[in-house]
Amino acid sequence: MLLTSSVLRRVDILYNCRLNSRSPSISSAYGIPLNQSHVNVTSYAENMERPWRKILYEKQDYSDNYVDTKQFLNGLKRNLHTRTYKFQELAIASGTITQEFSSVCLFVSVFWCVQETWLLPTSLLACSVIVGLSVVGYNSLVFVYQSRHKPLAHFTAVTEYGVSAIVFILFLCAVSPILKTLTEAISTDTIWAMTVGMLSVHLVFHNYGPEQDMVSNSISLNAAIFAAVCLASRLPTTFHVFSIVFFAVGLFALLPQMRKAQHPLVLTVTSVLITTYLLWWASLLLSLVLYTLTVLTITILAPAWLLKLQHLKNNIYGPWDEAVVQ
Amino acid sequence: MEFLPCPLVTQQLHFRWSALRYMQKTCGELRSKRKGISSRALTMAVLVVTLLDIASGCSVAYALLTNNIHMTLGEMVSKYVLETLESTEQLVTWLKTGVPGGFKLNTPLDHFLGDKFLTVLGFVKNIYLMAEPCIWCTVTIIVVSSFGGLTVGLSLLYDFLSFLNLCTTSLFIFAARIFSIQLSALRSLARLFMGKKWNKLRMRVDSCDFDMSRLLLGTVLFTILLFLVPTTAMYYLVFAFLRMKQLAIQIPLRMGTLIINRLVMILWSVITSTLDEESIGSLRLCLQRSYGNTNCRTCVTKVYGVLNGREYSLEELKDLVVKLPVEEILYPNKVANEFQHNMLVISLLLRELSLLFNIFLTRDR
Repeated sequence: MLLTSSVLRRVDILYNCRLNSRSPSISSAYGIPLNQSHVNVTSYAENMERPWRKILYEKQDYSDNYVDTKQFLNGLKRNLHTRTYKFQELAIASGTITQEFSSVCLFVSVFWCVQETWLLPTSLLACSVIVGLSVVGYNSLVFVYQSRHKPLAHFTAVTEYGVSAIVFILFLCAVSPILKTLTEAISTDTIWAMTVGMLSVHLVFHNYGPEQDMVSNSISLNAAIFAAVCLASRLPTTFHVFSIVFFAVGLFALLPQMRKAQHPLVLTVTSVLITTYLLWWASLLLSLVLYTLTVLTITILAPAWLLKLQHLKNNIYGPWDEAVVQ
Repeated sequence: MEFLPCPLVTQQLHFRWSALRYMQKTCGELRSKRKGISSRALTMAVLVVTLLDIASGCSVAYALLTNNIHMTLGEMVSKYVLETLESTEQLVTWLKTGVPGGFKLNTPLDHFLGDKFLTVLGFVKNIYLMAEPCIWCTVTIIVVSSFGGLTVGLSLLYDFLSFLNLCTTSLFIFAARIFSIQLSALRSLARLFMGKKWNKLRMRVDSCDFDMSRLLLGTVLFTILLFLVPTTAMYYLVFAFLRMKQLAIQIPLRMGTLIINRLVMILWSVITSTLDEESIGSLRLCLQRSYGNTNCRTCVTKVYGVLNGREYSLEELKDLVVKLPVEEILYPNKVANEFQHNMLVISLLLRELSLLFNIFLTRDR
């Protein structure tokens, strides 16, 4: 049995050599001179013991689909670039999500208060004006400081900002009567459903910090303003409408801009406290409970879960990865 | 089927004039005998069809006049006009209730549009009530003019009907324009909602980083326009159906004139059904050249093919039958400069008149 297999193997190699001798170009491409192929024939037993190498410029006696068990997946590396998180940094970084969620809850509770006439639109307007001016003032101070070498730059920037703000305010004044009667014929349930949908869209597409493909500033802001307009159309007078939309614009458009400069912890704590207080004051107890639960989930539960799952991380790297030019 | 922005009578005259000119041209070429049979026979065919036209027109006119049908025709026309006006008024009052057919419309816009349309309709109705005898006289004149040819009578009747229905047409164009403007603005603002912009240079949609103020304004406008779509859509639908009703009467008249015009080619296809391929091909070329500058060049060959039993395809026939009314209805949305301009002028005029009468009417209260 062994004899016949060895004979067959010898015949096979002879046949290959004959092919090589017939086509000298192939052997020269392999770089093996013709006589050396005879050397291979005679010492094929030694070749089988020579270890398999991952090269193409020498003819090895292993078959083309040979898999060497000792060398298989030598180059595999796991979790090269992963970072291990700590609970504290996760909890603090999740503050942006908490802030946005509390803004949303704050807006809805403010709307509820205004609709139940517990909160006057004048006071709402005053608050939002103060907040808006403070944000604008802060931004302009920062800008002035940054462009202190160019004296005219900050002036033009502030005037542009001011002009766009005035244009928007006038437009809102003009459009408020239309907004008041916009959804008169539509039932309240539809309005609530649309608002919930739009605010969810706002939360989903918001820019929380890390660069993601799904983030779209336009969609998030537009969805929030859409929800604000939907809610505002339920209010009794034009002034109510104006104040609510103004408040919404200040909350969803101007407030995120302040986030970049501040430490996240300060703003998170402030927004959570304000929202909690307002929900308690308006005696929306169920909402308060749900809100605190959600905030706790975002801040404590979700990071803990992520930490727990970290050991399951299994990123595979190896020589088969695409080459990155450095 | 030329959709030129001018009355059918002038189209007919243009058509006849070009046919005559073609005949004049080919008379000179008859001596050279370059085209042989085709052009001579074609001129004969043109003459024959003109004579047929006049003969049929004379017979119809004579029949109508002797049996005094033209009086009933006049009555029918005037009744039809007044009936359309009254039904339009009823429909608009129904729309103005705010809940037409269960659709909940936006109340202020509903009332506004309804008021405007009603003032115009009332104004036009007064005019027609005053001008009723004129309708009867004009119908008699049209019947008499049929002695010049059936196409003349049909095209005059078509033009007269479209003149009488000017109110319907212009109100439809008004509603259609509002609706189309709203939809195009909505499309653009929807793109802004997604953070995209239409790049006119590259003819594609690009992502765009908008300013804060633009985003805010855009969103508020988007909400407003979105919630006002049902109202304008209802008005558009109502006036579109009224216009379709008007066209249902006018289109058969137009088709009649067209068939008579193309009768040349229909006759010729019957005559040459036994001829060989070459002469038919040259005849087609002749036809295309003579009827060349119309939109219906392909229609000529299609109907020719249909009657010959060759190149028969359902889609081409459908094209012929369906495209005519559809293009009539969708006309206001297309960019056809002069027509749009004229219609805009008329709608502006109507708006001014409506404003005048609004002031006139509110003063009484």
